[in-house]
Amino acid sequence: MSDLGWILLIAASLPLLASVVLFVLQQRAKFMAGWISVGALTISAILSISSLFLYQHHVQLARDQQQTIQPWAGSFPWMKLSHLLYENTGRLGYADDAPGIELRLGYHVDSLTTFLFTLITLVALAIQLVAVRSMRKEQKPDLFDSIAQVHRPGRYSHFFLLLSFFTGVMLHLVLADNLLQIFVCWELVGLASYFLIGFYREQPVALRASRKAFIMNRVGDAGFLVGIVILFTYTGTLSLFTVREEVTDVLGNVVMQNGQPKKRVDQLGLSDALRVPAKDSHDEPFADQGAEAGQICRVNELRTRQGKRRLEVAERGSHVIVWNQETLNGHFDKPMRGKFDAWNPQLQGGHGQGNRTMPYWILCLAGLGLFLGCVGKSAQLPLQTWLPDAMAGPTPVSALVHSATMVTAGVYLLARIYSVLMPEVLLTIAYVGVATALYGASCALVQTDIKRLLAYSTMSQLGFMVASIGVGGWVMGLFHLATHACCKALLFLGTGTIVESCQSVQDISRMGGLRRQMPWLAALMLFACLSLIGLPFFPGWYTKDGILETLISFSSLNMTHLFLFIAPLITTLCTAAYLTRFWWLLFMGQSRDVTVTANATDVHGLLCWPLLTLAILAAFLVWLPHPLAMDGSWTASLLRQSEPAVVPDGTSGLWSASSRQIAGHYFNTNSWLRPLLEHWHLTPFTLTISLACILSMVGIFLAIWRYQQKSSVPWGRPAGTFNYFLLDGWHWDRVLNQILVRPCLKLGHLFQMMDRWLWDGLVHFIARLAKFVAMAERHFDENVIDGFVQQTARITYQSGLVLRQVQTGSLRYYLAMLAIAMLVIGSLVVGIAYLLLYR
Amino acid sequence: MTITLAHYLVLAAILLVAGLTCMIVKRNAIGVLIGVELMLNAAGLNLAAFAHYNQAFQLDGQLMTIFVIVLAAAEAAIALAIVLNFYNNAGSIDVDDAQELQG
Repeated sequence: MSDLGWILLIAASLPLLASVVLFVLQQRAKFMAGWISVGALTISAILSISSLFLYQHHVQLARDQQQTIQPWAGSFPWMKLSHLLYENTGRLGYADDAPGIELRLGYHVDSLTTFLFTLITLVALAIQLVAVRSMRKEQKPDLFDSIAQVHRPGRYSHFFLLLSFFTGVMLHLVLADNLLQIFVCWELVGLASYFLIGFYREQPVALRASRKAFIMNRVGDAGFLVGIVILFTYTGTLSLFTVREEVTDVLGNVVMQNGQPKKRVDQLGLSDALRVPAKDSHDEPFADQGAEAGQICRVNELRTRQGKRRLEVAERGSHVIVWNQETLNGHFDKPMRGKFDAWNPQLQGGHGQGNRTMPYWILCLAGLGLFLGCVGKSAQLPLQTWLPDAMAGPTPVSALVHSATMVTAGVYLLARIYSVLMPEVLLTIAYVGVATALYGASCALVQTDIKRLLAYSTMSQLGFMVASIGVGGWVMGLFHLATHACCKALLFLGTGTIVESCQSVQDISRMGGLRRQMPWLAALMLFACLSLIGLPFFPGWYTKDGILETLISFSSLNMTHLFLFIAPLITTLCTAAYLTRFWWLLFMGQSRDVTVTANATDVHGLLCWPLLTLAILAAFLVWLPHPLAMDGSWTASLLRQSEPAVVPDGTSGLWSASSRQIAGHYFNTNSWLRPLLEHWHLTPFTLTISLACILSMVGIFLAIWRYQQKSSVPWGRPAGTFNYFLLDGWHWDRVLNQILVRPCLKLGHLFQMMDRWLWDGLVHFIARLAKFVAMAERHFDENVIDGFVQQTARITYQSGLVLRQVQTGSLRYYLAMLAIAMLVIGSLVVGIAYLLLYR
Repeated sequence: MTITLAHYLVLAAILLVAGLTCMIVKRNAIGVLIGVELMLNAAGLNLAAFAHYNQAFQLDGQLMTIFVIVLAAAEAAIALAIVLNFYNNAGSIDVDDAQELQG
């Protein structure tokens, strides 16, 4: 199946290639920029769709031959770290052939990958096609930005460069098989998002929004990194999937065992590193103590009298056993060689004694850290406020990056690392998700900015997905991701068209009555709204009710977590109300500001097809093979193929009712709901459907009733405190400002002061000291040294002045002097000679 | 009274002093030259006297005296040339006018 990997790798790299081409061409690409980007993406989409069918073909073949599906995976070592280990421990050994800890780069293809590839490429294609038209004003070399009041050159190719780059990186994120690679792509989509939010960089609002998004995402990413580091430290691997290779003997023949090819673990996945290995070629470890395959094995560490370590399985043990390649290959009784024994001095051999363990709370911490990454990226509480602000970017960006794909990366991450998440972490995730859903829906109720409304709606729907993963609705969460992506992209593109044809006004209270001018768009957006509300047989109904049902089942087993049941129902009511309000205020009634709506025209031509395609895609996701297939719909069964084995049984069976064992044995299994349901002859399924339908209808009618009576736009009193509270997003930004931003600024101010007074003072003091010393030295130089030199010169000069008197130039004087000198010298010589000779 | 070496030497010394005084006192360049001649002749007289009174230096003394006379002639020629030249340049032969060597 390696062809499949190559196909997807090419499909993921084509948009990146397009962005490189656009980077080289820059503005020279002119109007071709859009088509280069769209062309690359079209090929990607075709490749993705073909890979989806190819994958299903392989699955069918494998099923026919009674074999297990071997997902395509390919990886190569990137960095080998084992020599570091060996150096630190002082052991002898060659790093190259040591069983090493290494970082690998690799790709993994399963049904989720192919499905998301198809979804992302198709949605992105639709959005880019619309963008080709809606961004065409950027082609002008001179453009007037009416908000920033400046003239600037258009950035058409720059826009498509970023959009292509984003799409390519997003596809790589989905294709990656280890956390490190996901993290890298995660950061890169964040970067692309940052650039795209700040696309209108002349507008201060856009700049602020992009900065805010970037910083809030960094907070989440810090948690992500902590999670990665913890997992890598304790398990030595970051791969998400275990890769097994067939064992061959020296002649190259496959070794058979029990009629099956014997397999050896080539690459250890995180799930297998933390969960008890399945019984296949060997005995299951700790089976005698009640450990089950696929479960986290929690143990208490005890000491025998000889001081050896003994592990005892306990339901709430303080540690978790970490398995490695050796144990997965069946060598339980051998002391583990290689990477961990150096860290573990107690290794004595013997059953279970060689196992490495990690504290349970640290594993929970890792899970929470990874979830924090998801919180940042998927705009969950408490890091959600960047998402509404991110709507400062162009509308196609809001559609692609901030509703359909990038923000759902968090949900994708949760789905991939599900087996690493402990029950406590999952519960946290569920609560955060449900709270976010309620928060987003309540805020969306009163928004008047059309794009902010949709942003809050996105946040709310993301909350649903996250909550679904948290309570074990793995398939439903991802399914909802798909239907939501299509519908929300449709809504955003429709919104973009409306805003464009309404003089760039985004205020919903100045629109209205648009159904006459744009009937097609009204119909398409009604479809998307009703789908997100979850009216029966609309795409969103299948997935949203699936999530609701999972939530209701979960809380029916755990009365203490009743909030997880009540809050989503309120959210459903709010969702119906705000989406109805949204649609009604746009399309029904009379126009509230004729100057705005006068020139609105319906979608047509190039713009119509992408929107229609999105609607059809959303419908086909759930209606194939037929609208009542429900649990058996193709998408659901496709997603179920890559569901991790550790997701509790029954939770993922969408419409299968009654007995569910959710979130394992950890939670209380006494259902308080069951007697009630039996009394009324209901199943969770029927209960959910009826409750959700009733609440949706109530929400719809409330909204219609409210806006039939009065045409004033805010829901409550226009200037009401509560209204303002919701409009401002529960004052979340203010609270964050007060408790985080302001203290940070204060601290920064403090440091600045310290800098200014303490450090600058010190520096200035030293400078002054140096200056003083220099002055002193200058005086010494000028007075002492120069004085000495000058005095010498002066003496020489003065003596010269004196001595020159002798040189009169007069011949007679010279002669007289000569005569006198001779007389003196002669008398001296004679005198001395006389004295010497005659005395 | 016999004439001894001392008489010659005293005469030579008087001649020398006279020459020297003439050189110092005279401002006329010709007068200076005359002083030079007097001094040279004082030296020649000395040499001749020594040659006469000392047998060992008889020939040498006379030879040197002749040499001094030849030298005086050459010197007078050169000095007169200088004086003429100086007269051409300065318009006088007063040695006090030639003070270019003043420091």
